[in-house]
Amino acid sequence: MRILAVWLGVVWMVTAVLPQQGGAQTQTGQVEWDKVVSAAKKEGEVVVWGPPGRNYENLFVARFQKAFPGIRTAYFGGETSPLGRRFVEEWKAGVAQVDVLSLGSSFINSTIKPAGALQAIRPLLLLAEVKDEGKWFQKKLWFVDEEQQYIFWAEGTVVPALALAQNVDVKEFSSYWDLLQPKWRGKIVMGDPQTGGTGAAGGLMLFYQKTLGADFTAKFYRETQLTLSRDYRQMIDWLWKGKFLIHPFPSTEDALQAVHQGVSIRLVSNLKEGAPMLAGGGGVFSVPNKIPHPNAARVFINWILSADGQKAFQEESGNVSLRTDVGKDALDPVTVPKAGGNYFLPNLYTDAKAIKAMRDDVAKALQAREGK
Amino acid sequence: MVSDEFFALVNNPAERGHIFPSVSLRFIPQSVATRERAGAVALMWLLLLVVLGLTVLPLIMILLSSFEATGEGLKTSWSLRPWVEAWSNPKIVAAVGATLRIAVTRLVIALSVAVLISWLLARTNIPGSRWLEFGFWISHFMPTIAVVQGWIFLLEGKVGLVNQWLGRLPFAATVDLFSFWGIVWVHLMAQNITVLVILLTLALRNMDAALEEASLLSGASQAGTAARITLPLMMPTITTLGLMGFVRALESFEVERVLGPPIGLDIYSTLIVSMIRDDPPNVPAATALASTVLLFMLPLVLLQRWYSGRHEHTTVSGRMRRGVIDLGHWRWPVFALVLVLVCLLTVVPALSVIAGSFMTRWGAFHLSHAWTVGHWAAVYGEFSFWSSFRNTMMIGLGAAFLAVALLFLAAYVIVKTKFKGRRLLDLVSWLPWSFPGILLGFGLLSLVLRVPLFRPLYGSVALLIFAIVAVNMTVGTQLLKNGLMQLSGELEEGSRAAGASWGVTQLRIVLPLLAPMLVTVGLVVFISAVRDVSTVLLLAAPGTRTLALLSLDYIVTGRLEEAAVVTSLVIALAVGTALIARSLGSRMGLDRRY
Repeated sequence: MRILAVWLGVVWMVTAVLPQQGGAQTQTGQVEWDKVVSAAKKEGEVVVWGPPGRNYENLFVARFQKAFPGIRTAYFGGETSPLGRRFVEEWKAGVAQVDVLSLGSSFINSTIKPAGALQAIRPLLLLAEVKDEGKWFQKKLWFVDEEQQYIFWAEGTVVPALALAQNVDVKEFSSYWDLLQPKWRGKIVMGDPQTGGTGAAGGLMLFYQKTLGADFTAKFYRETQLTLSRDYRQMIDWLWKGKFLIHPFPSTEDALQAVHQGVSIRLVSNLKEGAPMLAGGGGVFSVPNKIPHPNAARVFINWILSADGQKAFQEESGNVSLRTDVGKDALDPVTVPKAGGNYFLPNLYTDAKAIKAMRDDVAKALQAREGK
Repeated sequence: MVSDEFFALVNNPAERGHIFPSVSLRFIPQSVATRERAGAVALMWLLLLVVLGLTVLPLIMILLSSFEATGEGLKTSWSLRPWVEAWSNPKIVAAVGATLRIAVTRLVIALSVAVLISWLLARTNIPGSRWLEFGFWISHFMPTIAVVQGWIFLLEGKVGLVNQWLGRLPFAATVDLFSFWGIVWVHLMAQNITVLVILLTLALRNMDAALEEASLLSGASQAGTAARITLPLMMPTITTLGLMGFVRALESFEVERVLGPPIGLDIYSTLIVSMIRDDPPNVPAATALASTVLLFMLPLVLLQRWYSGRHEHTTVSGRMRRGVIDLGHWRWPVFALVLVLVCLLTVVPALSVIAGSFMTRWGAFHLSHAWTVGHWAAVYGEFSFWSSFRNTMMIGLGAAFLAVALLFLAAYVIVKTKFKGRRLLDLVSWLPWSFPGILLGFGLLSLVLRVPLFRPLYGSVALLIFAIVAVNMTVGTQLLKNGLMQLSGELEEGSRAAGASWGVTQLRIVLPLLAPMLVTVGLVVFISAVRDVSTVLLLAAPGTRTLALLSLDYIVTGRLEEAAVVTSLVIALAVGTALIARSLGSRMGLDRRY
């Protein structure tokens, strides 16, 4: 009987305490959170650098300020490369003026993190709903750095496997190996894997996916007379203008924009070997280790990773949150991962070595093509 | 005290030829001259320091960066690795070859066309010459992206409008813009011919017609006079502009970035920009590659200086007159030809941009809802549009006034004084021209971040103003130098002999005579501030972003139509400014016939 009473007591404690740890904020946590918010309001400002565009400005400025009146966001949007370069120069000069970075993960992973310029994000997470792994894709918090501490990955938007000209039959493609057919020679244009963006995501997938790999890339880059470009919008335009017929790994945003505008292109969302599920700037977060507003940064990072913050993220950007408790119904189905779908996660391959190996492979194949 | 009548006489072209005896500064009292000289020398040293600060210091930062190898923890060590990496790039040999082929081809064609057109505008009685010249100014304000998009509309494969018409002709010949000659064509239509016509016309208008008239009186034909008198007289200016055009051609990349990939064409500057924009970027290798241009540029500048030094420049003297050559019955056919060229340079890009701003998707005429005003509403509703507009005006006006003052003094010191540092001043004024804007911006960024003295400038509007002045230093100084070289010393000497101080002489003699050039430089700098992206990209802070940077945001997020809205406004702003400047210039003497 005593054993049963102890057992019931344990069960009660577990059932009573566990949900609090995983879901609602504990009383202690709430007190600490209130303290941080109060201190953040005294700091009055959080400085965020992220992607360009009014949608991200709305998200990080208007939506955050609405959630936390009294904390102003100083937002600076731009491409990852110049902003990242600028951060590096500031960091070298000992200037600390950015609280939160939301830039492309490969730059952060290959340049800023190795410099020791970031602080761990896990200790900054205060809200229980953020720390609750059950609320996230595959029930884990996603970090794209080796130490699983510094670069939080919150977005998983599917990059269509192919965008096709209107006169190309989608049934022609079930595998990436179909791209090697001689009839497509000179008709394929792809984002340059040697830069960022979906071209790099695709390049990583072609190189690291087991059923593709170096065997495939050697043929793909050498034999298809592939054209590489850095202008994603132009590549979509080339499809409807008939200059090219196939564009693997188009920019999801550019492709959907064209489709919504009524431009006649077709999207193939996935193939046998999968499609990349990517987070761009805006969906990846890191915090420098010297920051002017530590409390405001903490409030910001907790808010953007909360259900409210991620809902705002989806509404403003149209991209897909990795939080499973944020509804995906309002998003374009092409961008949302399907249950049981095969997806490649390129953000996990953004450390300097992994990227270099892929780029060396591309360069080698292109050189071999030139030498032909 | 010098009377107003004196200055009225100087500024009256009909009288100027009769008033200046041969006099020199020795008539000025010795004490005044000594005091003035000491102050002038101090001012010149200060000027040299400012110019060095704007040109050499960023260059040093760029050069240092080219020897920096970044290791673990962003710790840097000195190394030749960036240079080795840059020059072992497998694409470099082909890229340098393509760069030289394109640069030389476009320069030869542009110079030939520009010399002819500027001669027609400045020295003949072609109808509406001032309005045609204004048309070239309008063309100068057209953003390169608008020109590229405009010609893509017309000449892209089977979908280009002109190609569609050509395809219906019996011989069915179409033009492919994505080719070597397509790239050269777009360069010519973008800036090449325009800039040369503007600068050459200004110089030709200031040229004395006495020698040409003597040639004609001696029985030479008009063509012979143009070839044997006018052209040789203009050669120093032409060589200067040729050199500027060639150096600029080495660093321009916008056209090749769009038209190059389908034909596998890379040029030197697209490689540099790729290295900077790669993720992660390789800035040291990019700076190493860019620094190499200096090795080409320095001997060319020295050669140009040597050549200019051997030739007499003075074309505006106290006795100067400007003649107009009668084209006879060729007047109207020649007018029609130049008008067609002006239309190609202005109407194609302007219509392209304006149409693009009202299209659901730029160029997609076939859509059922091809037209919309939604992009205009979206841009106007955005707060950052208005703050960018305010910043642009502030930076543009600030840079224009600073540049006119600073570059006038620099040009004056180079041309009119025996100051020891004048050759150095002349040489360093070329430096900003030889680097892509983004690297100059990087140099300035490194400077303000790494040198504590300059740190307060970081993130300020002043830094952007300095950057815009620096990037325009070459063209501004060369323009004003040419203007000053064409002014005979006897004009100033006459004023000084009549008792006027140096300052009064500048204010009442030199500046009014140089007004067209000063207005031109101010306008060029203002427009540069409105359009420039690459130089200010790394320097602008959230509160100091310009319209051009806002437009860039739209472009990189795939919203070309909203970028077209901003570009349309930039064009309107530029044209409005040009009209105001033209009107002001007319009052100040822009239209004065010597």
